[in-house]
Amino acid sequence: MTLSLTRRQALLAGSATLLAGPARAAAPDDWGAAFRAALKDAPWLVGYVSAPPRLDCAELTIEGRWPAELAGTFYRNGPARHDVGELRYHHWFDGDGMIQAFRIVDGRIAHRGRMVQTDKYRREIAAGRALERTFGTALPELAPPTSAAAVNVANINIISHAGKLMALWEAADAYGIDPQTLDTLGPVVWRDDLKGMPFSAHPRLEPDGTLWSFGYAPLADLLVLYHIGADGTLKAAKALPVPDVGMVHDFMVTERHLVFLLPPITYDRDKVKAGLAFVDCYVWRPDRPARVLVVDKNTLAITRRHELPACFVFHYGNAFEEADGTIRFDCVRHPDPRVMTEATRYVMRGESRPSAATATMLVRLDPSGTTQTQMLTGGVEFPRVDPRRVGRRHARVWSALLDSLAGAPSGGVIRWDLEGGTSDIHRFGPQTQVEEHVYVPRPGGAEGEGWLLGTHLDTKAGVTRLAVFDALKLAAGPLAVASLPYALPLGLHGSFVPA
Amino acid sequence: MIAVFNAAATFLKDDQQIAAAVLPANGSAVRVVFDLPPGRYAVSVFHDANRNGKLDSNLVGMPTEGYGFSRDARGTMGPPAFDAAAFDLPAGGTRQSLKLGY
Repeated sequence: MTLSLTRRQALLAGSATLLAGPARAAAPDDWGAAFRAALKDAPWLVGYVSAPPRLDCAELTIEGRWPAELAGTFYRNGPARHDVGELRYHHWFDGDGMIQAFRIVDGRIAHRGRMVQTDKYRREIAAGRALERTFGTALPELAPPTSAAAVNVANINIISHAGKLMALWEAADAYGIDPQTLDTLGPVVWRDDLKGMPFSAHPRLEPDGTLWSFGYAPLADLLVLYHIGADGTLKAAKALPVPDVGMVHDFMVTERHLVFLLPPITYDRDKVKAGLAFVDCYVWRPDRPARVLVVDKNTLAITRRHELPACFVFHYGNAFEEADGTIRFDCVRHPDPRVMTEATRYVMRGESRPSAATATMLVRLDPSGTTQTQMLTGGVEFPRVDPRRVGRRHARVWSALLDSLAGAPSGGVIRWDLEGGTSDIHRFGPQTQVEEHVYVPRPGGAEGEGWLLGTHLDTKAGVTRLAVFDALKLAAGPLAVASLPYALPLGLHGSFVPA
Repeated sequence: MIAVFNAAATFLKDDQQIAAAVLPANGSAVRVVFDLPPGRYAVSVFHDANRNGKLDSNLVGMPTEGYGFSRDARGTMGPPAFDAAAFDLPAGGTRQSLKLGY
């Protein structure tokens, strides 16, 4: 299959999905046309083409030796429907979520991709057009959403807990997904009075099976906490009033505490009322510090507060606590939120606006209130740690190595060994866009023993590939690479569920 | 549960409706008739599915039962304004229909 065919097929399939209505309406603006024009000269933009609603490949082509012990399903989620009718969304985060499942059995790999059938997606398919304003798109013909739940696109992450597979957004409910068919089972209701509540895309799963999650409600200025037992039932939920809670995408747990970093980004209610897209209601306040809140796991009350120099953070590796109460954690530091306000917005019209360079930031929060930070240079995103070390002292963090999220291709993977401050790197090559890679432990092995598993988009060939590394020998290159015959839309986060 | 309001200042405020009705939610539609003087009115309706006499909401205040407003008015991340839902009732009467959202 040639590159041009693959790309055209993807484009055609993308538009066919969206022409559910009988008549083709005029485009509301030039974003769709601008993107299609840019795609002709920039093949790397293929990762932002709308996907067909169903994708199936019975067997991927494998080069190298796939590790025999690595069997199970690798699930990923990400925005996949970027065009609804003639409307092209103005932000990468707007696209309706699609689950990609790579099923690995006896060294053979099959792929299945299915849209998450959210309430929003079903209503828009029935109407044949986009209905409501979204995170990044507020065109006049779109109605204001009455709630976040009305525009839940379930497009950020997918996790498995207590036998339940859940597609996650962050401003409303998790959606249950059938692990085999990928059919959508509907919103997950933890308790009747929690329906429609913000539920994070980044719950933290402790080694004992306890799941902690949270949600931020910027209009109500609440931080909502969820404590879910290993059996999948809700143990406790609490809403903490937090002035200017802003945007909180991820958090951390230690053995005794939940740790939140609140970047200095405030939510302007007047802009919400004026009908601006949600992304444009956020105001970056670099004159203010980033706040750190430490919450006691037993009482769900804030017990410590710290301040850090202004920064923007989407993702954390892990946190742990020392005997004297010092809390240490690592995260990906952005100097400002341009990754969200520019890079991931203008890529939707085919423009590359690189975000500011990121770094791995190591933070120490002393019980006396003082803080220390240290930067490990090298642009990264999507940090992952050994799942058996969540909330405990960890020595290694794996991340995607990239110059800019949603920028021109540049990709690799990196492992930082935190105690020695050394790194291990593999670069895929200049025409590759790397996605999140997850660490999969070898059963019974020490921290780091096992594999690093993740996808990358080969923009030259126009196909998505799944690579597996020895997690302690990245520089040696992948042990095996499995290739799909098509490109998947660039996604966000996922999980490996062992067989 | 159906409530009729006649001013922005009292719209959706507890016990400030000027007319109300409670009807069993049988079938796909219910009809109710109010005898009111000519004027400007807005109607709110919700489906009290668990019969506890109130519109249940989650911890951030978002309704968890079906609700709707006259003129099928919608708010931005909350209820609509009185003016968005208000209609004029002439001396000869009027008929308004609305859909509940869940």
